Amino acid sequence: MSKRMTSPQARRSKGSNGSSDSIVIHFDPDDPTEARALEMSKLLALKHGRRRATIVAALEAMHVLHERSGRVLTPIEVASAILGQPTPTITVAAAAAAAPRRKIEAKPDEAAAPSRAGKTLVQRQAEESAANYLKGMASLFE
Amino acid sequence: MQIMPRKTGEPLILDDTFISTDAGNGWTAVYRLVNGKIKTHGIPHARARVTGNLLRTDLGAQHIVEYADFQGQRYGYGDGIWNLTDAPIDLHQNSIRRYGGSMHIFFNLVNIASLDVKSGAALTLIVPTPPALLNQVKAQIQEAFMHGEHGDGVWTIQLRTDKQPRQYRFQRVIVVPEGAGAYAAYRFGMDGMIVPLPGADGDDLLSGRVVVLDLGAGTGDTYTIFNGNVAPDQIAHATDDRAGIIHNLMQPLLSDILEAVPQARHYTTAHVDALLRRYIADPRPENAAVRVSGRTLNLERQILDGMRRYAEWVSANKIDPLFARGVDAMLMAGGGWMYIEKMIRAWYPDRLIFAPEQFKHTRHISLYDLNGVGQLALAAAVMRSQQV
Repeated sequence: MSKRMTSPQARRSKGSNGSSDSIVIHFDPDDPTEARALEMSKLLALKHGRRRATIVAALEAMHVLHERSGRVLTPIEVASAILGQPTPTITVAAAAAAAPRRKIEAKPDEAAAPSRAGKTLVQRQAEESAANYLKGMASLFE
Repeated sequence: MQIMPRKTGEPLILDDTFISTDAGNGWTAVYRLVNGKIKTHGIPHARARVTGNLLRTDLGAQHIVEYADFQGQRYGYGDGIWNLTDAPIDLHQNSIRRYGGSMHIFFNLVNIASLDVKSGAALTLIVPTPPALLNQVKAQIQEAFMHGEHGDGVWTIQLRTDKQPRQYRFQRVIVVPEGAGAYAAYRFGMDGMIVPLPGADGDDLLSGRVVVLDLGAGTGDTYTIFNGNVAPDQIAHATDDRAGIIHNLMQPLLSDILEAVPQARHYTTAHVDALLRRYIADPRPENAAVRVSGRTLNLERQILDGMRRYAEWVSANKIDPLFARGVDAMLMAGGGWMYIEKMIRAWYPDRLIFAPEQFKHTRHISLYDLNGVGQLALAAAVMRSQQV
């Protein structure tokens, strides 16, 4: 997917992870998630440059967030950030730029009520942090 | 004082044999869940060796000082002891030796008896320590509490109002880091169930890097948690014995008092603590007045100046560095925040700084009770997770 052609010399040996200036993704068509991702990749590629620009925008937004908060978003968080966008015109980069300072508008009654659509991002995050915390504390209670 | 726990319909998993304790350098309290309600009793962390005769002649028949008999000695405790002129007051603050020592055990027994826990009860105790000292003092705390007075595991205490001595046995002692309870108070209900906390941006408010800043009397403890994981490399630097209100508020005020009344050599930071607690509960000029060695001093200006200096110190030395390192949220815990919370909130309007009053399930918990109450929630959550 890189615009630059790699030289034969560069192709001979694989460097360490993340050392190359290009990325190559081989999608597994038998995996439903990767099959959908491949479909989207082809759709984006119908317009010259759009697929590359989309990937760059997503990675650049993650970089901004990392610089500000030290956090690297997980794949689930990236997917949720995209799915949680209010309108298609708001870019991931804009959302990441707004992310570091959040205001508290906690709704404990809604938090207590189970979601009909299954677990929300908040519930998953709460369960993850609770599980991690209890794993660390459990030995003190033995 | 009773605190109403969050109701979820889930059965409570803790019984009333669990006693959560928080014996800080300034205030010491215990917490217990009884029939779904949290009961608590606390006293200042100070005692005076007294005799019954001394109490009667020193204060007259009208003034009663609470006292308890323990290990063959009678000790006065509570705010009434500040008026005793000839009794040495034991404070025993900020020393590793105090953990599991005679005073540590005495205060917990007094508080447990004051909650009217039945004599003969076999109890499970939850005892916090500064995070950096946990590994060092855990064994000494457990051995001391479970040893009993004569090696049989039984402790005896008799309050002024008791007709008979009470006996307690600590069958289990759980030692946890200070601050652990505060995080648990936000994360779990008293039934041990997880409480999700949705923020405006759709994330859980306790996700990411969260710091508990526990400002007590003797120490300020910083407890860093990332998505629920405690950062082990930060535990060693977590306890700052110059960040509490004794160093930042009480000692400067004591210096002001001794400068004005040099002969008041009996005055201690514990006396100043009583004055500060009275003032912060009802901040009016008359509550900042104290009579010392025949002179009446009004210390309101010094108290307000001290509070501001403390807020500036905490801001510059604790809060700014934490947010500069990318902390997502900070949890307030400990009585030190009572003197600086309003100023800190005004200086950091866009930052996530949590206090108990912001959430339904913690609304009834005061800042200085957060660790103690939260330790019960932590115990419930651990027990619930071990049932699955």
